[in-house]
Amino acid sequence: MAGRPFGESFLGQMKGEAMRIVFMGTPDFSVPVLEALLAAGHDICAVYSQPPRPAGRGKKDRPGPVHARAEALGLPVRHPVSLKGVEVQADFAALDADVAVVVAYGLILPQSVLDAPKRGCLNIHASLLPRWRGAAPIHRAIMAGDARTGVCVMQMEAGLDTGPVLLCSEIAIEQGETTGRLHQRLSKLGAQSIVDALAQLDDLTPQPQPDEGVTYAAKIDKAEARVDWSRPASEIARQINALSPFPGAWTMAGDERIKLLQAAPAQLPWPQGEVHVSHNHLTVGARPIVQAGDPFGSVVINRLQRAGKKPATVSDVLRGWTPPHNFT
Amino acid sequence: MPHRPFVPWPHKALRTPAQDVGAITDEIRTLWDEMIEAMDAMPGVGLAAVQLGVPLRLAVVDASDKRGQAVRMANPVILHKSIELRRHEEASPNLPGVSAPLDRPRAVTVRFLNADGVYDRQDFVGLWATSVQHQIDHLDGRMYFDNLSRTKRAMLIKKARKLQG
Repeated sequence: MAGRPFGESFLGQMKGEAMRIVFMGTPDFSVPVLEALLAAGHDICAVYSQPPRPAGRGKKDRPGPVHARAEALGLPVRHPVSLKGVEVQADFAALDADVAVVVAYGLILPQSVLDAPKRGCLNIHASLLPRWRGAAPIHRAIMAGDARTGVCVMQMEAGLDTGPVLLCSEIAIEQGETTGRLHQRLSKLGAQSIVDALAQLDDLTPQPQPDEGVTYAAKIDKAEARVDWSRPASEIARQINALSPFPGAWTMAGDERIKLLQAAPAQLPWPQGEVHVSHNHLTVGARPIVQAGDPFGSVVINRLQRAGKKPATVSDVLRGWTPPHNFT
Repeated sequence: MPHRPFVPWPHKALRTPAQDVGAITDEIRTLWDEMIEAMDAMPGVGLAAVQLGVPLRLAVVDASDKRGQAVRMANPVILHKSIELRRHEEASPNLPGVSAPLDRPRAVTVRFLNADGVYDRQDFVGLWATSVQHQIDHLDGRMYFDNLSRTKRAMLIKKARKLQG
């Protein structure tokens, strides 16, 4: 199902009737979802987004991606700091929406908000629930070396990603896939899933999540980002891909701090942290083979970012930079 | 499909000149595919059959930027070498953990039996040329470090032994 084009194509495919929707989302991940809902002919009566935050050059307050896109589309945007206030909740209820679609909004929804729309609040979560409930499901799936992931549309409850699931779509995580790329693919899949879910809302039965297989995707802490070359190669490669592009796994190349952005485990064993330059990649030694099951002894780096420079492929970076003998 | 393991130096296959190949059979083609898999898993820019313990004059070379452009060769012979040299840090999965810079001709002309079973003549430059020469050394029963001075060679082997513990 992945890869179906969005946009006008959905207009002719409307199965259910157009609904009055409150959209709640903040980052890039949510934008394709908002666009797909509009393209499917739904009526977006309001867009909730987190308030503008300082960002970019000059650290001026800037609207988030959803906020900016919604304004460009001429949709009414609200950005309360919190939904706890009685007045904010009354405003929300006054929208008299059929349903609220929540995608990476970033604020906790109080019970009165969850209850306000006639058909409740639907949330798109980027994992195969109940695995990776919580804040960073995409990062954690890659870091854990999962072979498959997906998106689930669930009916929201007060608990953290515990609601009954209406619809799940699965995809395979590709070899060496970074969070950045998987994020884009899941965002498209999520957009498609919510449109499908709304179209069949009357026919779908919410399935309670199983009690087994529950894991939590803790927020990414910047302290996790430094590469420890004494770890096994496959683990380091997963860490690098999971943290790419943000916050970016890093290592010290001499006195310079560099970000490693795409990696794969490799067989050749090298001493820990020792750097070997090839024409289009670097091979860095990791923990030597311990168990027979793990044939990897080094990490191949294909993309990196030097301090103060743009991310680039290693073959580009090597035209003008000789890496040190060791990463630490 | 996993490839057979690299034989550790000083395995006999690595110190004996390999046998010429008569004709390109399906068996040889399968072997080339296995060699490419082993080369990509390292990853490296070339591999000779003797490194997997197969005493045949077969090599694969791929120094392309995006990979997936491996040249399969049997019975390769160098017809011409450039005077200009190129330095490269060479290493081998058969003696892991060590490497040494080596100067070799920057360009070579090589005659070899190609994947279609006909003799071909091809020029290789830069890293491609370094790799082809490194593989032909293997097929002649030589490791890259056999080109080093006695002292440097001994130091390199000692260092590798120490790493293996």
